[in-house]
Amino acid sequence: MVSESGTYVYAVGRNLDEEVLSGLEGVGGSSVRMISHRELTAVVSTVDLEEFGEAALRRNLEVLAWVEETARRHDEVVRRAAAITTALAPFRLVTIYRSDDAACDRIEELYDDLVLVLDRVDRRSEWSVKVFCRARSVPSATVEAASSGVAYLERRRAEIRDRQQAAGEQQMLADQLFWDLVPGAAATRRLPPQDQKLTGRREPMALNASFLVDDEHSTDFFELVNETRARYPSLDIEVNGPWPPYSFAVLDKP
Amino acid sequence: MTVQTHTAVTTEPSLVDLLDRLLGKGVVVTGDVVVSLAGVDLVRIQLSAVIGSVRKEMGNL
Amino acid sequence: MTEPLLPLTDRIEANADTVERELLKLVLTIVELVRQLMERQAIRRMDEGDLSTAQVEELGLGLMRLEDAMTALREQFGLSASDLNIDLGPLGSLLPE
Repeated sequence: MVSESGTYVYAVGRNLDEEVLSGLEGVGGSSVRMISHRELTAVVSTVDLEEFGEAALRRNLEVLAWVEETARRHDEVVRRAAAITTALAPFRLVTIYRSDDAACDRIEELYDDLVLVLDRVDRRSEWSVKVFCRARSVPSATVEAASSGVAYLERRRAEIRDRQQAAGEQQMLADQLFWDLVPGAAATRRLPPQDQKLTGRREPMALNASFLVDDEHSTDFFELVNETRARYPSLDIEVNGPWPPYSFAVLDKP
Repeated sequence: MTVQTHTAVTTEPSLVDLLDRLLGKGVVVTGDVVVSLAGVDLVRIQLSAVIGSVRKEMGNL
Repeated sequence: MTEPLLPLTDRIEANADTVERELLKLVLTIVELVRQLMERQAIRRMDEGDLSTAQVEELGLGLMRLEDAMTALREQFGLSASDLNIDLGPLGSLLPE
């Protein structure tokens, strides 16, 4: 039985050189290749619908090991493509079309949007800035037993208020930090805070932001972030980059 | 073009950073618990982080 | 086939003790959640003037004992307050404290 296949799209760029990427291993053990449409090039591979069809994806996307492996492979292809051009629009995970022709048709439909995205990300990279609230020093638990039930509740009320106030303040500072960095970027995007189990950090995350920065200004941006560390001692600031512009190539239509 | 600068942090994104960007995600936990203390129905909890309170008639306390 | 990548979270070993411990942590986390919610409710109703002084006192004493019991339970199993928690992703942590 011949299993059906589909065309998996990793990214779209302009005039990419096929030579460099051919033979690269893509998702599901496939081989990476390119398809051209007008001046655009889509980086793709042929995938087996047994693994990447709609029903299969519903199963596989719930298996963390599969998601991890696929995301890593996908990202590797995107990075290699980004390295050989100045403007690349990375696609989200598992964007799959019925065939190369179907993919081309879709690219034609999205042409104007794709050109806008490519112009937006040309010679720019994504930088990630994450902020964690430093744990406050908690007074040691040698609090005397409350003298009465009412006293206990009043003490608890005060403790809860203090903590909420401190957390509120740290969140405000994180927002302020975000606005300090905005002038250094061509575009910004805020993402939801990350699951603590995945970050492995105990402290709450107060900011998870992406910045689209001109490559020629990347050093300036990095220094700008470093300058903020002194201004916000209660915040733990993590900066990463430059990355391909994942967050800035988002098209509302799949 | 990736820029090589000696001050840049060119580490690859962690898996969680990648999933943030390559996927959409959400979390739901659901469940229901009713509790009381000292004869007062205090809280009806939905563990989906929406909390309502149940007020019991004070007459029988 | 490429080698499996490192696990994302700590793998729960197929080992009776660890499974039991994980279950214990989960149970105590839920108990702790309930305790904290009850405290907040009691404080809110105290502030709203919704309960008599006697009721507030009784509630407060009961909750104080609950906290002591919870602390003792944790100490018995060698768990710190921060060992108990559940992350709800975008909703934040289950236990804010």
